[in-house]
Amino acid sequence: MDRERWQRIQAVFHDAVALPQSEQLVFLKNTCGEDGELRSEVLAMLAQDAGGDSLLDHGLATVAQETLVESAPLISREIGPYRIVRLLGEGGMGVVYLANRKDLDAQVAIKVLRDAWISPSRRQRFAGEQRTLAQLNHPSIARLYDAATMDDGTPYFVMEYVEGIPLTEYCRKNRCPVETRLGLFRGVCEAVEHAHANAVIHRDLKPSNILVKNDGTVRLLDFGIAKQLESLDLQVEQTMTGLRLMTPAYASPEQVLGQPVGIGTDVYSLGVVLYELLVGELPFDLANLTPAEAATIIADHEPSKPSAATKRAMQSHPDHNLTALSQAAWADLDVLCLTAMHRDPARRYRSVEALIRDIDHYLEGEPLEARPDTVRYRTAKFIRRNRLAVAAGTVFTIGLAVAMAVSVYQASVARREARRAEQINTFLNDMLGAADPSWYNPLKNKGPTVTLLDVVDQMRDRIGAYFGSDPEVEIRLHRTIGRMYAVLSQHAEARAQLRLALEKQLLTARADDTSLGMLYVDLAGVEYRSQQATEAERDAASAVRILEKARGRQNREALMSAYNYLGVSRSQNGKSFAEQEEPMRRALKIARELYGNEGPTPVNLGVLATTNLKAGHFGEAEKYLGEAIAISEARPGTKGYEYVALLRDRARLCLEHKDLDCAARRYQAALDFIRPFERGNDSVFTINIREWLALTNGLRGNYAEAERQFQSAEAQIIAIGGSTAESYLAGLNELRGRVHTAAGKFELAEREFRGSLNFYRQHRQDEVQNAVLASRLGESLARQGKNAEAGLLLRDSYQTILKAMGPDHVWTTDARARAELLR
Amino acid sequence: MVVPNNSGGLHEVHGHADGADQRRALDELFSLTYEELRRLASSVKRGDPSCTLNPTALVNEAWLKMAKSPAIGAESPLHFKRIAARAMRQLLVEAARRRHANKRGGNGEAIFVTFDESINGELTCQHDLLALDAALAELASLEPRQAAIVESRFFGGLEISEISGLMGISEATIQRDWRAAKAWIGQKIKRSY
Repeated sequence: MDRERWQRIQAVFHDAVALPQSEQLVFLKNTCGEDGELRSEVLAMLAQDAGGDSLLDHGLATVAQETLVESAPLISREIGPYRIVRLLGEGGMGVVYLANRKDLDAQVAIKVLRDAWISPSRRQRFAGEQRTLAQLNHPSIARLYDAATMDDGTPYFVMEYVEGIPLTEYCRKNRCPVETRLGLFRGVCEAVEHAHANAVIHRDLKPSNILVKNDGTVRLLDFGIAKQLESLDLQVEQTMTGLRLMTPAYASPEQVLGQPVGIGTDVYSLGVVLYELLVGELPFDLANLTPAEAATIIADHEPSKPSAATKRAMQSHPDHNLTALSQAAWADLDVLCLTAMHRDPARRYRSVEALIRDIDHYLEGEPLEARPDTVRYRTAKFIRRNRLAVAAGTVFTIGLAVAMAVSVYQASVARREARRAEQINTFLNDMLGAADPSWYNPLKNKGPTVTLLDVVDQMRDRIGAYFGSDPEVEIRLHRTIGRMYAVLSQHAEARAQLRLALEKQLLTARADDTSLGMLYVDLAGVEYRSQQATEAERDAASAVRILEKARGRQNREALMSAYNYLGVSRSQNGKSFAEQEEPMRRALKIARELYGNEGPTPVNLGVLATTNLKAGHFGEAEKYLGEAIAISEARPGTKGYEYVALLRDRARLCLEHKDLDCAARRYQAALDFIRPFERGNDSVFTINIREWLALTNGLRGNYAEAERQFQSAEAQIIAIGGSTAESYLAGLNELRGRVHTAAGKFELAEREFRGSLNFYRQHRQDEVQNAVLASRLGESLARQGKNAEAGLLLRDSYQTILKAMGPDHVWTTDARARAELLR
Repeated sequence: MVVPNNSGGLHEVHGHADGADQRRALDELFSLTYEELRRLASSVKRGDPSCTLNPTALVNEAWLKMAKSPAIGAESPLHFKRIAARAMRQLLVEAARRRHANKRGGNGEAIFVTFDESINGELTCQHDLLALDAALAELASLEPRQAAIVESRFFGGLEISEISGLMGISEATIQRDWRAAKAWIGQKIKRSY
C-alpha cells in the first residue's frame, strides 16, 4: 500500500461511515466498482468502527498490567543454592522473596531486579543498593550475604531475612509506653547514624522499612534509594531524587521540592516516624491529594504539635495510650519531634547523633538541647504580649493604638470582600466543623480540647486544598490567618503567613498596588510586636510609600497604622526624636480626619504624649495627655488599658515636675483603675506602675515601704521570667538606685545604677536616657568620694544632656547640679 | 536499554538537548515510565476502584518529576508528553516482545511456562501489542502525522485538543484521522492471527 492508496481508503471510509448502515453496502459497491480489495478493506474498517473491540479501545492500564505483571513469578524456583518460598513484597525497583538456603536450612531474603533490561540506571541503582548494604555493618541493619545474576541475566542479591512487624504497628499492638517507643526509635536512629557515618543517606525511612523482631530488636531495611554522600555526579543524583517514587508521607520538604538532600532528610523522616509513634497519626493528612498538592503541604506547612494532635486524635484512636502523659513531658516531646521535622533543614537537629542526645536527655529527665529557644519563646510570650509596658519604654499605648487601628480597617476590608464571602464562609465552617469534636460525634461534645489555635492551624494547612486555584482568595486567606496568628501571639506563624501572602501578591500586583501596602502594614505590626524592629521599620516604610498617595478610607486607615508602626519602630531602633515623632503626627492627623475625636484618636494622642515624655518634652506631653484624657473621660463606654497608660504618663509628669504628692496620688489612681482588669494576676504593666509608686514613696522619705515594694516587684518579674525579664530588672534597678540615693545609701545606689547602666548601654539606644542614668551613677560615686570615676561620668553625661536638651531643661539642671558636687 | 528509535518521534520533538545529558535523561525517563506503569498495572491487578491513575495523570506526574532534569525541563509539557508517549510505547512493546518470546519458549528457555489460565489472556494482549506496534509502523510510513496522533493518544493519554495544539491542525481533522486509523489498526490486529 502506498500513501495515495491509504488516502483513497480513508476517503471512502469517511464517506461510508457518514451513511446509515443499510446504505453502506450499496455505496461501496458503486464507489469501489471493480476494486474489490478497496471494498473489503473499507468493509473491515467499518465493522471495526461499528463494534470492534481492539487494544486501542482498552486503557493503557490494562495493557500495562497484562504486559508487565508476571503471572508466574519465581515461586518454587531455585536460584543458586536458594529455593524461593514466597513473595515478601515488591516495589518500583525489585521484588523481594523469602528463600531457603538448602544446605544450611537458613531463611534469607532475595531481592530480584525485574526487567533489568529497561535501562542502565536501574541496574546501577540496584548495584548501588547492594554496594551500600555490603558497606554497612550494624546489628540493626539487615546485612548482605550474597549477590549474583540468574541464567537470564537478572541480577539479585541475598540479605538477612527479617521477620517482624513495622515499628508503628508493633508499638500500637503492644500499647508500648513512651519510654519503650523512644527506646526502639533510638535504636533506629543508631542504625541511621551508622549509615551516615559511612556516608550513606537512606532517603526512604518509614515504618514499613523499620521492623521490630520477636526478640524486640529493630532492623532497618531497604536502602533501595540510598545515596552515597560523596557522590560526584550531583546532577544525576538530583534528578533521581526528583524521580523517585517516594512515600510522600515521610518525605522531607527538600525531597518533594527536588532540591539537594543531605543527612537532614533522614533526620526529617525520622521526625515523622517519631510523630507517628507519639500521636498515632501522621503529621499531615495527604490522603486524596495529588502529588503536587501533597508537596505543597509538606513544603509550606507546619504540623500541629504532637501534644495537640494527640488530644485531637483521641476520639479516633481511643486505644492510643500516650494521652495520659504530663504536660511537661509533652512540651519536651513536642520540641523533640518538631525540631527533627522542621521544615527548614538548617533548623533541624544537625545530625542524628544530636537527635539521639536529646532522646537520652528526655529519658533521663534532663533539659533538651533543642529546648532553650522554645522555652524563651514560650515564657516570653506573655511578657512580649505586654512588652509595650516596659518601664523605660512606656509605649504601651502605642500597641493599643495600632491594635485598634488595625481592627477598624480590618472590618472595612471584610466588607469589601463580600463578593467572596460565601466561598470563604464554607471554608470557615468546614474548618470549625472539622475542629469541633461534636461535629463527628454529638455525644462527645464535652471535650474542651480544641483551641482557637488548633482551628487556625488547620485553616493554614487547608488553604491550598480549598483555594489553590483561586490565588486571590488564597492570598487573602493567608493574610487573614496571619492576622489571626498575630492576635494569638503566634508571631512567627503570623509572619510566615503574611510573608507568603506578600510573596504571592508580589507575583501579580503592580508595585504601587494598595493591597501590597496593606500586607506591609500587617507585617510591620507583627514584626514590631515580635521585637523585630528593624524589619518593622523597613516594612512600615514600604507601606507608607505605597499608601501615601492612595485615596479611599481603607487606604487612609492603613496608612495611619503604617505611620504609627514607622514611628514606634524608629523609637525602638534609636532614631532621633524628630524621626519618631513625625510619622506619629501624620498618623494623628489622619485619625482626626477620619474619626474626629472618636476611634483611635485619643490613643494616637497618647502615643505622641509618651514619645514626648520620653524625650523630655514635658509641655508637649502635657498638652497631648490633657486632650486624650478629656476625650476618653467624655466618651461613654468602658475604658481599658489605654486609659490607664494615660493616667500613668500623667503621674510621671508630676514626678518630672518634682510634685511628689501629685505623683503618688496619680500612680495610686492608675493602680486602682487597673486592678479589676488584672483579676489578681499582675501583668508587667501593673508591676511597672507599682515600681514607680515605690520610687515616689521612696523619694518622699518612706524608704522601708519603697524597699518592700521593690522587693515584691522584683520577685514578680523573676517569677514571670523569660528573656525580657532582664530589661525589666534593669528598669527596676535604676528606680531603686534613686531611692537609695535619696536615703543616703550611696554604695547600694552605686550597685543598682551600675547594673542598670551595664544593661542599658548594650540594649537601649536612647543616649539622653542613658546619660541621665550615668549622671545618677556619677552622683552615687561622688558621694562616696570616688572622684576619679565620678568626674568622668558626671562631665560626659552633663555634656550629652546639655547638647540634647538645652541649658534650661530640668534634666540638664539636675545633671549640672550633680556635676557640681565635685567642686 | 531501550533506545528511542529513529522513526520520527524523539528527534523531531527533542532536537536541541543533545549528548550525554539527553541520554541520561531518557534513561531516567524509561526507568520512571517503567515504575509508573508498574504502579498503574498493580492498581489494575488489585482491582482498586479508587485508583485514579490513568495515562494522562501518569504522564503529567512523569513530567513534573522530569522537569527537574536539565535536558527535559527545557521542553514544553506537551512536547514532553509526546516523548513520554513514545517511551511508553517502546517500553511496553519491548516488554511484550521479551515475555512473548519467553512464554513461547522462543529463547529455548521455557522457564515461565505454567498451566496458569491467565497466561492466555496475557499472550493475547502481548500479541496484540506487537501487532499494534507493527501496524503503527506501517501507518507511519503512509502518514506519519496519523501515527503520531495514535501514539500520543493511546500511549500518552493526550487529549484531542492537546494534539491539535501540538501539531497545529484542527480538532476535527484529528478526530477524523483518529477514527480512520483506529478502525484500520483494529482490523489489522484482528487479521494478524
